[in-house]
Amino acid sequence: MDTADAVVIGGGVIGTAAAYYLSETGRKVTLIERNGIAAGTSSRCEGFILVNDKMPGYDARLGRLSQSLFPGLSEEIGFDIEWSPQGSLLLIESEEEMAVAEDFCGRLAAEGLAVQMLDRRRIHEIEPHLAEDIVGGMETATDGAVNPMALAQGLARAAQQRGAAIRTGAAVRDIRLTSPGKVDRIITDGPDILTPTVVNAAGIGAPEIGRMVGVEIPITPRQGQILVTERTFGLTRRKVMEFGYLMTKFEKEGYRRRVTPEMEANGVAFVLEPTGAGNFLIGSSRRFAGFDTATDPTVIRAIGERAVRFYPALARARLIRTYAGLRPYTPDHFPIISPTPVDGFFVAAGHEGNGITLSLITGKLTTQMIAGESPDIDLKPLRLDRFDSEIAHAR
Amino acid sequence: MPAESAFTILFDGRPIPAEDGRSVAETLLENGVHTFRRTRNGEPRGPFCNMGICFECRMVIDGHPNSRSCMTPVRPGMRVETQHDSNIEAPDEDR
Amino acid sequence: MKTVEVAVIGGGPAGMAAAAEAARRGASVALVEESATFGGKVLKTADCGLPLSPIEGYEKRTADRLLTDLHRHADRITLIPRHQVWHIQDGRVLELSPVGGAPVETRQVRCRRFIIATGAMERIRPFPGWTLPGVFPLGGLNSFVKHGILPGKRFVIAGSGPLLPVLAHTLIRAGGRIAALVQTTTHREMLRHVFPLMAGMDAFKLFQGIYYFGRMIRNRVPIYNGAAVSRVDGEERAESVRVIRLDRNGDPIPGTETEIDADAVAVGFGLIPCTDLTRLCGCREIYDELSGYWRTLRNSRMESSVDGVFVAGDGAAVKGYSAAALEGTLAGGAAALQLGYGGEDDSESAAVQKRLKKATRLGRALDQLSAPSSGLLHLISDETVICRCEEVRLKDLRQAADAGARDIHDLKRRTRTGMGQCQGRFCGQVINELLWNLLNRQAEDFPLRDVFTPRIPVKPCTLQDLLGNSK
Repeated sequence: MDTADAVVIGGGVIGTAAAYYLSETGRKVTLIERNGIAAGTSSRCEGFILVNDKMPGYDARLGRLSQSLFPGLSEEIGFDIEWSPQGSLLLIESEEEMAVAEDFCGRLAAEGLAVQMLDRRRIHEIEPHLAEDIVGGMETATDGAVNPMALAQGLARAAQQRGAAIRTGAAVRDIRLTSPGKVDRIITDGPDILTPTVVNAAGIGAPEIGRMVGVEIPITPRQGQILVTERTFGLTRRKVMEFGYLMTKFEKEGYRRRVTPEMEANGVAFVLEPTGAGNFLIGSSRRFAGFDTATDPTVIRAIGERAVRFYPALARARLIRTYAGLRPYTPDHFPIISPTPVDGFFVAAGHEGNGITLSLITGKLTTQMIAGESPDIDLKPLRLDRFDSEIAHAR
Repeated sequence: MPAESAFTILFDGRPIPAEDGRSVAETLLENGVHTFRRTRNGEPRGPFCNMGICFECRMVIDGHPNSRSCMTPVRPGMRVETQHDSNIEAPDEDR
Repeated sequence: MKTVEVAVIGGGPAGMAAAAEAARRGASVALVEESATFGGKVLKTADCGLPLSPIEGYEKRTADRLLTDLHRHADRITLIPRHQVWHIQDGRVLELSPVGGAPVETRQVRCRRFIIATGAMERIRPFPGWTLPGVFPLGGLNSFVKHGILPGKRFVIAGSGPLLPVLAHTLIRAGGRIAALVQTTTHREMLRHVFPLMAGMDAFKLFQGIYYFGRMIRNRVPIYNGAAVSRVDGEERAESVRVIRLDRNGDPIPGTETEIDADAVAVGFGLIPCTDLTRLCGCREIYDELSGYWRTLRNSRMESSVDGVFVAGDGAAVKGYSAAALEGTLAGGAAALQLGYGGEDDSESAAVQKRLKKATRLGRALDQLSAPSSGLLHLISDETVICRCEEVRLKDLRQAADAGARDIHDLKRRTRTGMGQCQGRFCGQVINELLWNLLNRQAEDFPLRDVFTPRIPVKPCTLQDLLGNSK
């Protein structure tokens, strides 16, 4: 039997960030992961650290808080997370989008974010490979990217150096409670762990862990497929996305992008990430497909066609693999960083496509929540009980 | 060798003799060229598997980076350049 | 989209025979092949301007016969050369992309049965200096020499398996100077395997062996038995080669290195099946410890564990072109039978089964003889590149293992090994053994044989090829 002050379940970017910040408080932490570090969604995603796709307001503030923790992290933990601060670009296809973008940009600027509009001349100047008809863009100077696998490995290593135990290849079989309803121990397929505190950072696996203590967690896997090119010429140095996708995401009424039925059906929106290794990651798609992580030609072609529309030169790039990741989706797109009715059982999961960006602040907020410190940002919008009526309804 | 099947190609700007039916890799090896590419660490690489699966022999062919020289037949006037992985340039039509 | 009854992937002996047989029985067939010509790696004719040797003469006649059979049923066979399969969808639709700038002819082939005949690739092992220009796998160099290209003045050829004498023979005929032929096999091992070899041999194979050996003796090729190339040195290309003696377990004996001047080196240890597509389709396979590779499981009709998916030739288990053609005929016949076309069930013929059995025995004996010992991995130094594409060195893997990498997928995520253009085809061959070594575990207590997850596109292809010219 092992003992720990806190056990974090899940070895992705969220779990490792939680373990890292928790161990900073002097707590004896054990991280338990059924597979390997970053073996799940954290190795099947892009590495964006973005605020350019956040809703002005709480969403943007949360994103910016997390983003500000990245630039110094490699030095802080002594591990290269491949932070590249080249900024991001939202591409604007039409005058109609331009009008919405200008308003959006103004509101983000009012939050104090480093955003600015680029006109047609300027955007083609800085992005020479862009399709000629692109009318403009929005640049966010603070945006960047990391290698998510390196991020999780670095955080795990740093936590370990602070005394945390990292147990990979170990599954959680059950969580036992004392009566009345307080976390007591974790039953694993190795030694059991006696602990008063559990952080459920299992991502798409969080509902399964929640059920062990009777807590319903409304997280559903939402599949995204990504295309990887070989190392090639410097098509762009920035993280690029199409603005039209945000308009869909924010449910701008009556707006429809000019896309094929296959793109519409699979939620295809253009996203491009130059990686530290020199490859490009091309995304993205969104659909509910259970736990299926197979990629398929229809979606691959739709993503590819959309990408070539923005960067025609991508047509000549060779694809060397594709993969699908499962985003932990919640009904209101916000993560859950929250206590639960079970004393000592906390949730830090459900970040959908924002997990990498929000990883560090999630780790920090989780730690503040457990330590009873005042959080860096109001946690009310992230509480699990905001879904109570929906969960009751679903029953 | 019949005259019409012999021609020249340009390797890093200098003309070298070539023959119809040969691959770029074969033509370069025959002319004593062994380094086809420099890796990001600057190490020399030449052709390896000669069947299109290892991608070690990739070069800039007619302005296209990452072209497999073992799978590309030579053509009159073809431009072949050593590929430097640390500095890959855009294809001609994309410049 | 092209619709046929039987699609055959791979235009080597197995694929050609499969296509011809299915068509002979009345089925409509599509035959997809990556290169411009059919015949596969081995039977492709030499083109070094010399008259054919008796061996080449026989191989050419075999290739000609396969081609004649293929053309006899040309009305029912669609040939799709210069195209590769990047995905098999729902087990019935092949996704194609053109190779080397070929025009896109067909993007998809829909079929009711398909036959995978993708052949074999070379088995190689990393060693210090193996990334220098002038170092090749045996078959890679052999293809150059067959086309009259001699990429060096003094050759060292090393390793094991039938490709070694084949390359020696090609080099001698092309006028190349062999500074050393280095084989891991000892006389002892030869003797141990000679009986199964003899039992599996047909008269021609026996003749071939004796003929090659005779040529080597006549040309006074220096032969090192029970030895291996331990490293290649050079600045811009191979300049010298070191050869080390092996003990009876195949482990290098320290202090027994000899240096040989050479500017071209070829090393290989036989062949292993290309299993990308069978794996993608979910065909059951087993790791054959004796042969040292993954083998696809099939019934006597060459059908895999997945209904309607047949696998023939060296792509399932390496046995050589005669057996491959035979398996192709069986697969083509069985696929046509399943579709309701008439004719005999050849798999029930005792003569056919006897020939197959013989070929299987020979193949297995050669596999065992050529399988490299795990001791060869001790030659790898910390600076040796393991993943050529991403330039991942042994020390990088060691560091990842020390940091807690627990399986080959974890190693990949931490070091990028297997993430490059070759899609892990080379480093994937040794990654299990390296992990065991790095974790200091023995195969007996850590028998995990893992493979990198198959991903599409199975072969790299450009977006433009994938999208096609037309929608």
